[in-house]
Amino acid sequence: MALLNIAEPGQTPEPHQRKLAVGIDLGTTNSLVASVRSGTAETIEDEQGQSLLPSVVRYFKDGYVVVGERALQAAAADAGNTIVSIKRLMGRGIEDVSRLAEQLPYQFESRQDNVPAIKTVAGAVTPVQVSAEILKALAERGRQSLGGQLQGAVITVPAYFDEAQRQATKDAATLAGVKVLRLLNEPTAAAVAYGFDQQEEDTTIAVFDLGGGTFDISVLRLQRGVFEVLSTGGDSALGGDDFDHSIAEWILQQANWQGELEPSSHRRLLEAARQVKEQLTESDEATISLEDVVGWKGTLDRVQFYELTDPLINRCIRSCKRAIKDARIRVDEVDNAIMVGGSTRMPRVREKVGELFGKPPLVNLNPDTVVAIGAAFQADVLIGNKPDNEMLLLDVIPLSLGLETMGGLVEKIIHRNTTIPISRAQEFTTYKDGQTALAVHVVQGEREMVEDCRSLARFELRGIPPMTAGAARILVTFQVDADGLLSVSAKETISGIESQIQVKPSYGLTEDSISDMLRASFEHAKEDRDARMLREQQVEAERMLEATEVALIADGDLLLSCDERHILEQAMAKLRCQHDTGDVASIKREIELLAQASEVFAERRMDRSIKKALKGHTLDELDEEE
Amino acid sequence: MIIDKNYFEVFGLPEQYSIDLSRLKVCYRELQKEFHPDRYASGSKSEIRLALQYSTYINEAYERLISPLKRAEYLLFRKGVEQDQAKTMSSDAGFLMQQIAWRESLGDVRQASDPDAALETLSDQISHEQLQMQQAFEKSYLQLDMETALAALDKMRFVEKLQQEITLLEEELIDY
Repeated sequence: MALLNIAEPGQTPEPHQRKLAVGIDLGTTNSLVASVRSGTAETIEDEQGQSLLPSVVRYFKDGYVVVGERALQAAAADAGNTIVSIKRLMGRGIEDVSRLAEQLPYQFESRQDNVPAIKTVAGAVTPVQVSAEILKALAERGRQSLGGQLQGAVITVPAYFDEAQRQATKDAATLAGVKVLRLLNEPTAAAVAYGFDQQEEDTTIAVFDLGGGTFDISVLRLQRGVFEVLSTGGDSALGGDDFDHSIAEWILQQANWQGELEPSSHRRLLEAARQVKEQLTESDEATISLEDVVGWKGTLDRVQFYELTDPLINRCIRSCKRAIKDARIRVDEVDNAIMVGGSTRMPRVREKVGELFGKPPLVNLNPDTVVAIGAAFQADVLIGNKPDNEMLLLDVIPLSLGLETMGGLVEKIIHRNTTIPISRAQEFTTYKDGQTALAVHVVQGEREMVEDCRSLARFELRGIPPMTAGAARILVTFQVDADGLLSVSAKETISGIESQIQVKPSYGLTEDSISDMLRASFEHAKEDRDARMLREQQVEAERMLEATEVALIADGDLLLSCDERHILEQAMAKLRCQHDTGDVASIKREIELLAQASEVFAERRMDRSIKKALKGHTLDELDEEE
Repeated sequence: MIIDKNYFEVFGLPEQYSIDLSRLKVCYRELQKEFHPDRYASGSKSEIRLALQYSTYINEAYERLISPLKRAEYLLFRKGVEQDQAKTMSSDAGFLMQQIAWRESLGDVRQASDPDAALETLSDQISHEQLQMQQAFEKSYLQLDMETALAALDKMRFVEKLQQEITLLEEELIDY
């Protein structure tokens, strides 16, 4: 039926149709969504003209959910059902969370899969589910503003996020129905927003990101359109809020306040402290009047303010020095420092950063939106709207991956700051005669003892043929993809017994529990869910068909025999037919069949690209091969 | 296919110890620009799978060749020379004395009046030795004297570890 749909040679199907993609900054305190329209990236605002969406989710009894400003307003009144700062819990296990639990107003429920779930009136919710609500709200905002189904999103994550935290972020996107083009490191996104990718000469950039509750420093290098993260560092418990706290403490001292404060008074105090901080951005002195709260009024001048806050800024500066060292460069080799996060508006912070790097930092972009803007640019490139763009972002793995060995020690398999994607194999053997199974425990971290590292996964390789101790050869291969996500496969090389494991963090979600959650979240609207899943598969099918068509037009004559081309076109026709009339499962099946049918073609096309890539550098060698 | 080539072939470099590092870097970036999975983010499934495989291999190859130590190991591996690290520890008495002296200097750094300067002097000294070891490796490798090459490689390994310890100490001094 749809067999004749193939475009004429030389004509790209639907040439000028722009694909819709967004960049999402999923933040601890606030989140943003941005997209590229007519060449420039802009944040997308809500109906009230706000671009910042507070990362707050409130749950109601009937399962109704409110996200953003309205939820934030209820944070004090309905603390137990209003979830704030969920990013801090992403990818964390029950044990990590119980350490934080005292500071959090939530009640946790322990579950079999070790995923912490917060009890609300709407039932228990996991961090992934809460984040998914925020992502849904942002995606919906994007969809409405851009006027169509989003085809993909770039979501930013802190550069130091470990594999579990990245996986959780990706799971949240899956749950929200958002296709992730790439998890992008926040500092890299900021550098993209500043347009460093457009620049010809090599440059080294330090991204100084002081948010509400966290501080991150990253050193990036850009060479010939390739970004590399050289090192990352920071302090996950240091942010603008700490500046407020130190001012608040000072006020209590001045007021000679001894006792406890009511929660509402405490909020007033912190609010006053924040205002003082902001006033001192502009003026040399700030007045405080809190007679009704702590019975004190007075002033704080800049000199005193610096005394209070310099220790905090110095902590940031120390982290910067370490990150520079990690990057194996000298401080004067940093060409530019970029400021990200609202707290970098403080003049003293800019001053100290300028002192360290010997030049004033770049501050011309809004530090609140710069990450989302960069993500939007990258989304536009990845979705294929800018085929000529040469930008490439190479990332490194932020924490070492290793295996538990005898005595609870860690053997590092992939060291931190290794460029990804990467794979590494390690050989193991049995230590008992006739041993038929081997337990593998994957951890992430820099410390030597297993207990000091993060446990990512445990699995067993079974079915090893019985041999004498030390005779079996078991090759365990780690593969980390471009998003920093890990999969592990194991193989007994003598017998050839193989097992493939997709690693999910020990306390992460299995594919099953994701689909359970998907089911649950659409319980009320089954038709909706079915329609959406069908639409998702159709979009995937369209993408696949288009990619194959474009490839056929470009290289089909050159690289395929008549028979091969015929087989491929048949697979396309079948997929097209299922796309129009089929159900989710049948479309999915035909997509996979077409993927298989086009494997050889894709391989030939990519091998040809090698020559293109090395053109001008290795002509001699290439000629020899031909 | 790129994954059928050896690491030198990947970048069109001759299989030898001295290589053109700037050319390696340039070729590496050009290849990653072509094959990084981001390039195929909106491509077909088979392209995405292959891109991951190729890009991974290019990273592996680059990492091996950019490091003087790993490059030496790879050359010997290519020549089929067995490298049992536990077995071959140097019997060179002079080098053993040198090792002890370096370790002592490293231990003394903390007590030095200017620890940073002391550490830098030591590090410079070791870097100089490192260069000589690399030259020694290359010379015996070219003469196909694999036993001497292996001995040089052993020394290189030791010095690499020592440099790592210096880096750790450096970090400690910064924190302090």
